[in-house]
Amino acid sequence: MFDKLVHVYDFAEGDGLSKARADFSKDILPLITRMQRNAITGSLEWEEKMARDASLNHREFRANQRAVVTASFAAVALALLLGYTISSSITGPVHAIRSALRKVAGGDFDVRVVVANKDELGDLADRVTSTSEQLGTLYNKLEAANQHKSQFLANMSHELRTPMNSILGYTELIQDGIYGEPPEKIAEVLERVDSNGKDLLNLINDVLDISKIEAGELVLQNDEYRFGDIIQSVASTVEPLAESKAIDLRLDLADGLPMGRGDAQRLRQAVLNVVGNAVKFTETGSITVRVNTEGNRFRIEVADTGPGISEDDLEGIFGEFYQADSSSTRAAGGTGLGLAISRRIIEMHEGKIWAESELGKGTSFFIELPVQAENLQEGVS
Amino acid sequence: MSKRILVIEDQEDNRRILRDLLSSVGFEVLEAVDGVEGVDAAAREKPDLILTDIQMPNMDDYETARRIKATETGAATPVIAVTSYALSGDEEKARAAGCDDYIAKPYSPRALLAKVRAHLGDDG
Repeated sequence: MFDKLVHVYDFAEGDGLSKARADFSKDILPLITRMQRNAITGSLEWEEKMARDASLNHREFRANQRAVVTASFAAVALALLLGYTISSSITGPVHAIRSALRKVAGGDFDVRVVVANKDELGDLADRVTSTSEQLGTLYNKLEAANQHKSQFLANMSHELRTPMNSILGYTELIQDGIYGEPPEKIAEVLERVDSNGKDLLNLINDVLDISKIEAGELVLQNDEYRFGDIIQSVASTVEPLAESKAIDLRLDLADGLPMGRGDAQRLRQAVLNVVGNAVKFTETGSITVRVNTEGNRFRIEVADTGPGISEDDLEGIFGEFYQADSSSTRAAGGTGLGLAISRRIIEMHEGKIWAESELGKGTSFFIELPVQAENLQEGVS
Repeated sequence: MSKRILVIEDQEDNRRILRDLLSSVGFEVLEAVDGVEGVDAAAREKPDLILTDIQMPNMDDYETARRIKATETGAATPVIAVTSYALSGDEEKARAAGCDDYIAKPYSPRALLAKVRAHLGDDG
């Protein structure tokens, strides 16, 4: 075919243009036409084939697509199932353990964690159960021991006081001349015996009180009281000692003091400890007790002309058995617990107690407490 | 005729102290060593006044006072409870049990005598 094309070209280069034209129409044109036709047919066939292939591919594609999607769903479902199974084998026991621990925290030690796991979680569950059991046993023992201790203290205090009461009883009968008038020397010495005996008894009572307070077992009674009565009672108790030391005891009670609400007996004890200390540690001069109100609070000041307390000791004196200056305070007596007990009592009434002092001049103790205290035992008046 | 006082007290020293004190001022003193004996003696002897300790064996604290006060003669007899160290609540308990008065240990002999005389109207 191409030879013929070359032949025509050769012809065209010569003169045979019309011959070339004739040859072209006769030979080349049909060739070209046939080529066109073949090309079109070929491309049509190719298109058809392509379409067939495409449809086939499409079907295959759709099938593949379906397969992939199904496989994906299956995989996801499987993953979810596996995930759920695994996690429930973890979260289940974890929930069980957590609710068991919550029960224990609430004081219920009777828990048993039962899980199907035979793995570390199962092990943990068993440990929680056995530990809770042990905790329960320990807790019961501790409760029993605490009860025992309180009972022990209560019994001991009764046991300790009984012989003391006998000693003091006999001593006072002798002093009162029941067995005949005692010789002067004996009466004098007996006075010391009596005084020591009373100190010892006070110490026993204070120790019991502070133990009770610290065990949280001191309950405040719900009384209506007059501060005036409390101060009068305290004054008459310390009067003998104040008189013997020639100390002037002055009371300055504001007019119209309201009725207070609190534990009258304990408040008396708290005030007595403070005033008693003032009398004990003051050698000469005066002790002034002032009571007034500030808003809805009582304010009490106990001012003495004693040796004063150094700034370092002003807080410490409220501690147990703290004695600021051993030599002088031991001579003055006292249990070392009085102020500690006073502070607890005042604080249980939601009040405050503190001291201010100037060495060489004197000391002032201040007590402040609500006129109407809360925290009182219900139903007792 | 001297007044008769029944002392119900388990501790020997306490009994003696009360006996020595009361007899020194002219009272006749009868003694019982526990609550059971005390209730018995109160009914049998019909004393003019009864002093009873509180913490004793064989009977719960205020049971003695309660039982004595439950009887006809007991109800008419002044009963003074001898309590230990003014435990708060003791006063109420004493009154609730029917006691006419109470005194806390350690008591001053003079204070006890004053109470006894007050409840008897005069002394022996």
